[in-house]
Amino acid sequence: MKSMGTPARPYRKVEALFVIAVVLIWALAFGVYLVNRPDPSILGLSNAYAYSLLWWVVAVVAFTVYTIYDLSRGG
Amino acid sequence: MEAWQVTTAIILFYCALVVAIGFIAGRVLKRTLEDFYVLGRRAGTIVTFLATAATYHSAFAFLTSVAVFATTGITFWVASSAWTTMAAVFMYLAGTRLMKLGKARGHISPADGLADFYRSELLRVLVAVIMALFIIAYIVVQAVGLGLILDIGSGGAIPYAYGSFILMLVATIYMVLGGLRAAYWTDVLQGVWMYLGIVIAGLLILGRLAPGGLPQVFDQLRTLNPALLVMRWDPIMMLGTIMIYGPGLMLLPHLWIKYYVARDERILKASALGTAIYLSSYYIPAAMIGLAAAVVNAVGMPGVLEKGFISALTAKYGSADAVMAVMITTFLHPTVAGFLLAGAAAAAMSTLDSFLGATSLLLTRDIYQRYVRPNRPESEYVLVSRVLMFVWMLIGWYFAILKPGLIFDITAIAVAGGLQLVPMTLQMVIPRRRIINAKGAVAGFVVGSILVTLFTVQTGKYFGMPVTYHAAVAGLIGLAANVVVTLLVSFLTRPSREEIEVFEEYRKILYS
Repeated sequence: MKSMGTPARPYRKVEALFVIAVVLIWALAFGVYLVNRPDPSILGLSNAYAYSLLWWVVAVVAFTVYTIYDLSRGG
Repeated sequence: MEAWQVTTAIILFYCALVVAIGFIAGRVLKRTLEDFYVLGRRAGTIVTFLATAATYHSAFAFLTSVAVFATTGITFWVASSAWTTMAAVFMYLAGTRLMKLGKARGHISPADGLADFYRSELLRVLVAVIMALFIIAYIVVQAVGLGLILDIGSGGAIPYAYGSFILMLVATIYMVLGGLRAAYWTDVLQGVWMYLGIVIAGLLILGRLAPGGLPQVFDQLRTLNPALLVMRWDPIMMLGTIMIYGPGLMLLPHLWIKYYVARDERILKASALGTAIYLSSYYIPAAMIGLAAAVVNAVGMPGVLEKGFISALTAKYGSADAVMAVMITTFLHPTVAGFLLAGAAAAAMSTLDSFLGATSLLLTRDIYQRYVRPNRPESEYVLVSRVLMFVWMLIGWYFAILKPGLIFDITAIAVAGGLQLVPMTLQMVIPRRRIINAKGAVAGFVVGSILVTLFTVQTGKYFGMPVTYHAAVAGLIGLAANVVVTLLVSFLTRPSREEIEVFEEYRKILYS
């Protein structure tokens, strides 16, 4: 188990920070209720849809960055 | 050839292809349960990723997502973008730990792992039986989807009930021939096919109906029905769907056993990232088709589709799930339609096969092998697994011909059940401090599962419950009660000495 080959505490700390980030980012998904209007926004999409698309991009990019970082340090 | 014959022929060609793959998989199968179910734990990134993604997305993704987009608008995207990515993150964090534990302790089913950790045979039986029952709901929706695909693809020449039976039989045959090895191999083909299918369908249909793309559709809907452009579920419903289709779905047996397939942790983590991108981006083209269907539904297209055609489909099939298949057969060339509907069949079959496999695994490994006929040759257990696949297929088909309702609502029942595994599983994968013991896990799981059944409208009505909750909300209620009961009973009772010893062994596996 490569992840266990690295010192346990730093790995667990990084993983704990990732879990906190997940909770915060997914809480932001509920921010859609603050902009929940059909009015045109980016590219003519509704406010709610545009917000949700942007949230999705942020979530996927954050997950990608963490995965690359995690795998690069031994997975 | 008439258009429906071309479309049907392509769907049947696809069926022949997956049966052939099942046959070849069966030729290389070793007659052991570990090879039959988890590929001997040797799968690489492509197989692990596509098997997980294709299994996660089912008739739900190809059919009901478009139906929900067409009837509730962007709501489905707002929630699904959060739950699909959450599912992948859960796979990344919990799945890798389950994989390590499974490899170290020889688990090949959820009941295996939980019974081992809590040293409880009662828990093994409860998890196996209750999950097998909840899973029926998921098998039913695949049967519904397959019936719609062949009925509409054949222009009604193969009616819903027969179409459902034929395509379910195809999936069962390749599973019987090649076990879950066949499911993993076909998942690779199906995963690619269904993704290409939805993207091509989205681009072609949107190009045909709204050359200006999504902005044009949004402009039209802003005039016709602006309610489709906002989030319509309340935050509780949104939270419920994120929880049931995130952790809840990822803990159902058909996806849980995928964690045991991967060769190592890095493969599972890379697969989780791929799964996040695949699952969530899938709903972008689905939104294109669903929102375009909403426009057509509002204004009609003389001679092509009547205004309000979704209501007519709901009256005929018992739900709006047929919208996708109708959009494909109405607006696209029969050859393209055949390819795309085969993609829809791939979505349903790739989940159905895993459900059949996982259910037969639970009942064979955790019930038959332990309590009915222990110490028999492995080949006998493989035979029993195969018979059980046919039995569950027939049960699923029976309920499907009753036209039980919207696929989205029916799947929610199964995944709300899966959500009840969360508390006891979290203790298993995070064995730092003991806060849950076997008695607490059993009590919480039973209470949570009963509450889900009672508070879900489709099942609660049989118990005289005056409830109208969606299963997503019932899942949250069940989970809350589950957590309270689990912690309370664990606090008031003592773990066995065996439990304490195993807890330490799990700590060593994960932390040393």
